[in-house]
Amino acid sequence: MSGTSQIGLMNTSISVLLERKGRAAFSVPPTTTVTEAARETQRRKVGAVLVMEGDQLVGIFTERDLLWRVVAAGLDPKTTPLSQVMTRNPITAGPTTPIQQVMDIFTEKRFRHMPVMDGGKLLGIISIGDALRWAAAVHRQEAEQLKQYISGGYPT
Amino acid sequence: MNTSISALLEHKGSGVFSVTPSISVAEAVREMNYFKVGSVLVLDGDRLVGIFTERDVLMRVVAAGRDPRQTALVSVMTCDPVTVDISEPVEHVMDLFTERRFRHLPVMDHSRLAGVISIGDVLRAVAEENRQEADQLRQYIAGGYPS
Repeated sequence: MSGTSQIGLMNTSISVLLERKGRAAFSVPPTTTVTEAARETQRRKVGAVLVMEGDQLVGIFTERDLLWRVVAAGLDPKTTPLSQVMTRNPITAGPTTPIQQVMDIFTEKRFRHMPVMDGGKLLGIISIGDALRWAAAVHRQEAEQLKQYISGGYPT
Repeated sequence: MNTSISALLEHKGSGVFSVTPSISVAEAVREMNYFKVGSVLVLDGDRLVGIFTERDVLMRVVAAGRDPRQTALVSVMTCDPVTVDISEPVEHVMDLFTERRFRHLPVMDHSRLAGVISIGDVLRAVAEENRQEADQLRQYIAGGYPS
């Protein structure tokens, strides 16, 4: 049954993915301007920035917020603070949330980033790219197992 | 993946969102927001000359301190974008998305533009396939799996 391994892997908790990507989440305070945030995301090659007030997550600012709430609204990115245009209280995952569940939220709600929290502590951020990378690896592994199975070398 | 690129395109419905090269960034953003898409193709007549995405707005316009109303789309779009052929396997698209960090790819049917496939479309298909396999496994365990 080729699906067994795949289902197991998709039930893997999100913390495994976070460990794999080995990239700590970075955050900025709500007073950061849109231009500063854009430069920071560019420097780190990511599409979203978490907004923290002290050690509390208060929002997320993504490319989509930029298009809708800044550019389309005609606001000046150099003077607009994130507090004015960020998405407040974003949906978060916990460390044991299954990857499949995060993928479902990405596709149903059309999100592309999700902060991962452990209680009140920020653990990291998972992007749609991370999720697809994982799913692609699972598929490759499954195809490999299927090949081994067909050639008779599949371990029982 | 059992799904093909053409099946993914059919599922999302037809329609390619395109603009002409002569417009400004602000005008392109208005189109993207109106159609709720993260990218537009830039067509000169029926020739694909570029792609413009949300990431370009972030990186090449706002981070660069340019004014979207004063910036010509052609100066910040990605020229001659990588495309995929409609007959290629979805795995190839997944590789391009994960390795080259693209999120949108124009799909060509021979030399004709057939649509755009996004990372969200592919993830949706993968999630759907996983769900179906999980259902099959459950049926199999319950003894109802068709032989």
